[in-house]
Amino acid sequence: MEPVIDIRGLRHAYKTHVAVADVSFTVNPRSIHGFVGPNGAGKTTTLKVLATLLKPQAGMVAVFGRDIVRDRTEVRRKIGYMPDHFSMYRQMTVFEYLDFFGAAYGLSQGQRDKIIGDVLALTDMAGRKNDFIQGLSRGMQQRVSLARVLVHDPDLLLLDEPASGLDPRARIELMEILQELKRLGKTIFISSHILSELAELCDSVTILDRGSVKYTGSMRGLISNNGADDAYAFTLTAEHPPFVDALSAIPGVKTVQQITPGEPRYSVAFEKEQITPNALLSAALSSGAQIVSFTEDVKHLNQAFMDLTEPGVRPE
Amino acid sequence: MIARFLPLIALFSRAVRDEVRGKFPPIIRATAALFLLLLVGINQRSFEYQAAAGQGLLMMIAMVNFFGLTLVGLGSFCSAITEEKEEETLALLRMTRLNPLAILLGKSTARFVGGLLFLAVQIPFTMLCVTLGGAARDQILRVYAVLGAYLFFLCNLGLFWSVICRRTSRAVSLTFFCGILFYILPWFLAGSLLLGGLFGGPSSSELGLFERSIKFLISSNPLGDIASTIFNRSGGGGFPFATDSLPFHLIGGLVFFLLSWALFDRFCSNAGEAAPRKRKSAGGSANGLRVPRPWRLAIAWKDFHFITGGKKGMAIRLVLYAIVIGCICAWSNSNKYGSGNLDYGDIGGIIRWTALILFSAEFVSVSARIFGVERKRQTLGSLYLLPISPARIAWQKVLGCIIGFAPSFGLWILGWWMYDDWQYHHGGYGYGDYYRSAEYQERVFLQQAFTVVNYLFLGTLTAYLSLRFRRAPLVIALITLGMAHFLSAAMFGFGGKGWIAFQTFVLGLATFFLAAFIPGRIAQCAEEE
Repeated sequence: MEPVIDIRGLRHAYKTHVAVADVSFTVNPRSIHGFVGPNGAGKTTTLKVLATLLKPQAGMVAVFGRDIVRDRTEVRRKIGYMPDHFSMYRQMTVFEYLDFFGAAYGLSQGQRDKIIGDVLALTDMAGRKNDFIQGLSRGMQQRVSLARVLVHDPDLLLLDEPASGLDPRARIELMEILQELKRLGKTIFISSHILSELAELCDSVTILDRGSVKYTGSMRGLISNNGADDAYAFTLTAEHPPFVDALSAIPGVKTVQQITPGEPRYSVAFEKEQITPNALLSAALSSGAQIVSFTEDVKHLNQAFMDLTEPGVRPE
Repeated sequence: MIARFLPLIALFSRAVRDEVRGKFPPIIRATAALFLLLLVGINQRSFEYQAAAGQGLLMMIAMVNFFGLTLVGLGSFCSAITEEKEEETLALLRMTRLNPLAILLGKSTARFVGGLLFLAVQIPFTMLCVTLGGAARDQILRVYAVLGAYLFFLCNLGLFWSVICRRTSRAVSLTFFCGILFYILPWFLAGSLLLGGLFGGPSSSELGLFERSIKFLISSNPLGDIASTIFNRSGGGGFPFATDSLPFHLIGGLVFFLLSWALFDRFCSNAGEAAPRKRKSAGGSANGLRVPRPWRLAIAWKDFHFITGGKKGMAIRLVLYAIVIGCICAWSNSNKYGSGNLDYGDIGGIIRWTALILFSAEFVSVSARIFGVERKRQTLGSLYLLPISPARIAWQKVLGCIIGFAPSFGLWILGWWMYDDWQYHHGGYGYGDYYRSAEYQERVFLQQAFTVVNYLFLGTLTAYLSLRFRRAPLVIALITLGMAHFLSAAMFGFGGKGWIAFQTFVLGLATFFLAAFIPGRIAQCAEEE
């Protein structure tokens, strides 16, 4: 399966400030890929390179197998870029705005009528199509911005902080729209600071810090406490030594660790090919332990992010 | 007691700090100094044989200062309050112990003092003119007094519009418009609209209020006053308060400052000071669309409808222009110093000159907005990402705007045709023969080419500068063009056909190179968004 985005050894500097250095990752088709990093990590620079706004100073960047420098015009037809700021013609109505971009992409009037109807329905803005953009709330303007990105039916969406400044309801609704777009076959590359929502939304993620990639791969791989192994957490009513002995003796169990000393909480890592969570639970019950909870042991994305990125402000 | 002034001092010191840290003030000062040096260099040879070389040098220095102050004034004074509105910090200032007077003083005084120092440091250097001959010490001091008063007026006029407007660009435009109203329009009315008798026999008591106002405004023009001070020692009275321009500018500046103070609360209230004016819903036609569907050249469609106002805007402008021209014709026809009944040649002349002014106003306004609006709204990036080249984007934008010029340009052509046709058929005293001659045709062609190239250069430079600077690209372009002509005249003098042809060629070449840089600049702005 050819990746939609293929970045190898990307480097870009603004005068003496190196924004991204040796960045490499890929994004699979029909997936939602999160792009996370602290402020100044180089996310927007990478997104601008992908959007063909900036030329890479070193490395190779391909979108749908096409080089973004050599085949810039072709790449532009296949991508939709939504920047992190509102860039809209606010004196236009919603329909005029979308109609203008449709015409600028060379769509016929019939094609525009159909696709504008579709994107307005998708973004739930059909009832506001004759409103002036400047009279819309921030959340609605964000929807119009997303509708504009979709108007030429791109296969890859590059979204830079699409949920920033939105209220919780607008954020949830935006995430639902993105899920729907994924179901429609789009690939979505989304940069965001709202980690909890990314954890639910994304199939894969890249974490960038100080211009270099700290992690790239599946979301599950990132939040798993034990790398590639599966892990489950037990919470008991009290410490119970036979519990540890019984689980350690099962073939396929790699470690049984007390999560916090003095507290009856344990993390059990195992090879999923050899043993199932059911077998673990049975063995724990057989040891006589009083179990309060039994859950998959994953890190919160926030914790993974904190573990991978460095504290403080990036020096110049 | 001192504690009461601490907030004002803090505001003043912040303004001074911003001025010191700014990129533009030192560049402008350095440019002005280099320009003066260049003038001295150019005139060095003439100093050797001219009896009054200092007179010419003083006039040049005064001109450079006048245009320099206009440039700095429009760029700096007009943003005094609007910059706080744009950054939404005015409400924060008002929450402190600063009252409106303190804010106005704190924001404008540093800029005014900066301009005044710019003038003051030159005075010892300008005394060189006394040594060169032709200029006296009191003349030099009076020239600087006139310039200082002009600076005071400009500072407070800019401050006034800065209080009234939400955006710096609007404040700059309105201040510029007022400048035209005070300094250029009176000359136009007196010179072009059959008011030549103003400078002839009739005494002031015979003149009506309108004519007297025009005469007063002309005599208050700082450039006229400076010229009179330098070249006519007896004219304008002694140092420094006997000239018309000094009281006009000092009193006018004070009036605008008091107006700014009086209107501050009305236009700078906390509530919604920077909020966009909201229009909820588009009214109009049955399908809810205000404008027709986009053309195949969508960017041209956008700029035609949303920068020049589209067909509706064109129709409104045409009606307004017709009313203005009608009023001027009626007024000229009834003017007691005019030639009586206007013939269609006179009407053609009025249409030609009025339409030219209206076209110029439209042209410079659109030139400043063609990319300036995109840059301000950060929409160049979304245009740049369209699958067309930046050169085509620029071309489509220009096309959309050109269509919008149809009313004023059409009237200009009509006026030109009417005037020329009348001269051709009815021109007395041998004018008809002259108008038919090859010499006239050649001269007209050169003049037209020169005019067109000047417009093209100004428009291209303004558009290019709007992609570089967020503030006052039009003013910088106008000053640049004015300085270029001034420098050219100083170096080569005013010549005949050859000089015009050379100027046309140089400006045409410069326009071509500037236009070639615009696509690259669009790409750069899109990257920076």
